[in-house]
Amino acid sequence: MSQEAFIDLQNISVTYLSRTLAPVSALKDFNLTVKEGEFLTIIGPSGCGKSTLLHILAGLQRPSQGEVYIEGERIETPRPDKVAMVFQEYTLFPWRTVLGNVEVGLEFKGISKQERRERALEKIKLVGLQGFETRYPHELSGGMKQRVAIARALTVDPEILLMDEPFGALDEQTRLVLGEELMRIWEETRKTIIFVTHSLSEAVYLSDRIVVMTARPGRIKEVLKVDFPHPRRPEIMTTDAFEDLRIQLLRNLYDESKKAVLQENKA
Amino acid sequence: MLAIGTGLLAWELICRVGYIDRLFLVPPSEILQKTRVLLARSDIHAAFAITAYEIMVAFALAAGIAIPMGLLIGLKSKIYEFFSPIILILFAIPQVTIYYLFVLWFGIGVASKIAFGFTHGFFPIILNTMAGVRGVDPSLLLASRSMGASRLQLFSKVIVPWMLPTLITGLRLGMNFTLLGVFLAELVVSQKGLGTLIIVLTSSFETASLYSLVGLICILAIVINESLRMLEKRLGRWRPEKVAV
Amino acid sequence: MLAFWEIATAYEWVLPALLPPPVEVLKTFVGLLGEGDIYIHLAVTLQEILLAYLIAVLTGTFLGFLLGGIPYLGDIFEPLLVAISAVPIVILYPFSVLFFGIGSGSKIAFAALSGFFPVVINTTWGVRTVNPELIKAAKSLGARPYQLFFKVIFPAALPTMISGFRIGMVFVLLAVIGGEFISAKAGIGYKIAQASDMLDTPLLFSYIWMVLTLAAGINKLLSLVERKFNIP
Repeated sequence: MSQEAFIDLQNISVTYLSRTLAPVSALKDFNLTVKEGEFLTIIGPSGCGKSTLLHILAGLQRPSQGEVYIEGERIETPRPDKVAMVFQEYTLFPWRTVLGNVEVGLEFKGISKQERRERALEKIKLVGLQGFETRYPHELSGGMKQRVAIARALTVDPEILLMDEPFGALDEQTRLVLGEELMRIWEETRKTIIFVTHSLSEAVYLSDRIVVMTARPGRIKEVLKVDFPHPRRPEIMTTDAFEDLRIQLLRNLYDESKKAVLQENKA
Repeated sequence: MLAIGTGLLAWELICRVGYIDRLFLVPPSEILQKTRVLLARSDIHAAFAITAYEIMVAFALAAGIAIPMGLLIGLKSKIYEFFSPIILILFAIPQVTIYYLFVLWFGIGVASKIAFGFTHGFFPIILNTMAGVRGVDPSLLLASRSMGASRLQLFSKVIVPWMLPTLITGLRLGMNFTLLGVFLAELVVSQKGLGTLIIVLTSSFETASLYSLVGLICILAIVINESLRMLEKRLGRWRPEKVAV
Repeated sequence: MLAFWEIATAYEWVLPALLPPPVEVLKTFVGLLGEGDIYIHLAVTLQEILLAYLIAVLTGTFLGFLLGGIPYLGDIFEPLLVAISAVPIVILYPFSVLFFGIGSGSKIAFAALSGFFPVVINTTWGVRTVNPELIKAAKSLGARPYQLFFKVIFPAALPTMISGFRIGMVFVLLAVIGGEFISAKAGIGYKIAQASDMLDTPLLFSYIWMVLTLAAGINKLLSLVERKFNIP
């Protein structure tokens, strides 16, 4: 195990039983290291085990084989002190207000009400939701809900933020705006972020590194480095360099996506 | 309101004109007058006290046993798959067929009526408790686990708030069924209580008093039901869509 | 379980009056089937159930569509019906006897009323909650009013309606047996009351067995109907 690696995934394999009890290999011999403060995006065809990977990093699921280390510590159970996760389907508590939702992680930790409130309000401000503290999730738009979820994840002050297609359910414009805000938040906080997406431009815009995965069983097909300087603003999306990278990503992904669709049709 | 007023007036008139036998239909004015008399009678008070006592004890027992059982069954998929069809079948059985066993076991006094109210109220409560637990959004549980929620916290901060409105629905329906069970028992075999009084009034052809008493019970049942429904709505404000009866 | 029941009663661990041995119940049951009398009572009960259910479903569905289709009426009567359905309906049974006598009429009326509520409430609810987008889509495709009703609203509301029909049947069964039990001159519920009075447990259990078979049979039938309409 290399000491510099902040996150170290070693030989991760995940096999599960399908409904017909045939073993399905979701991930196979997956190796990856992530540096502290890196923004890493994982992109790949559906069913390639991206979400499984995040669940393993979050300690929600154990791999069939292999080990995960964060700062040299083996991860077997959820580690809310180190890792927070944002899900595609928002996963807000519908009976809690915005403030209540952002506080809940600290509540699980047993932190005092006063401190909870202060830290939550600070993050609500960071994601631009001041004035909405007392609203309930069903009163919010999709974009606002996801901001709440991001604020909730940041409130516990994790070292690593795992984001599983966080903007997948949003429309293109909202997606763009939230992407830009995430960029700003990352530039401000320099958390380590592992981000899963299906959007090519989102991946190119946000990442330091992009991991392209193969169709099931998921392996690394290629790793692309993205060197655009910071602060990054959406204007770079119109540059040729951006477009070149996007097309390169598309080429890499296209064959794998085709394979994945064929797999689905067979199943 | 206007419709109800017109209806009452028509009712009054039809009776006054005298086409209809007083045995079947009594004018509202007479029912109202009888209600005043009824409310002052001490035997009514005694009967009410007994029935109310039976209902409360039966309901408390039903809720006290059905809720923990429902939680236990609902939380474990294996247990749930085994018990849920059994409970549904038992619920569909007309319990009045085995009322005799209740009398044999508990006598014809208060105990058998409580037991009968209990077995009626039990099923809606346990079924709704189970449904409430099973309905919890799994992604919410996953997110909470990722934030380090303990098992106790998962229960108290995710499962319980999620199921609370469904549980209240269960309690409301359970109360309706408890009422049904207790009154059924009192109408069938009983020596005291409001149901017994209904039988007495019926067989002595005191139609006006019968209307009055039954009307009062109906109003009471509706008030209980509606207050629980308000509570249900209040606790379920966060739910995006309405849920069927 | 049956074996345990037999042994427990054979050794009189439980009082036979409370729980007769299954063999004895079976003997009584078979003996019962040999008498012509039971079929008359069975026929009375079945007829009451059928008629009451028919009335409940027809009136309930009709009114349900009316209340569901006309928002103004629905707004007024839906909460009213839901509120009234909370009444322990058995206390109305004496009125049914008062109006319709001690014969089948009072059972049919009482059971029809019992079954009516779930049918009308579910139908109203089902019609009112048909996805408006679906109606818009059908209109844009040129559906005429009657097509809108038969091809969109009715099938869309059907699953909710069927669940009301189901609960309605349970209530009708309960009401018929209950009504017969309380006061009647014929029917299975009446025979159960008689057997209870005579403390004849094997006979009682035979009748209970009959009611259970009846309930299970009706349940099965409804399941088949549901399957036919592809309702989960």
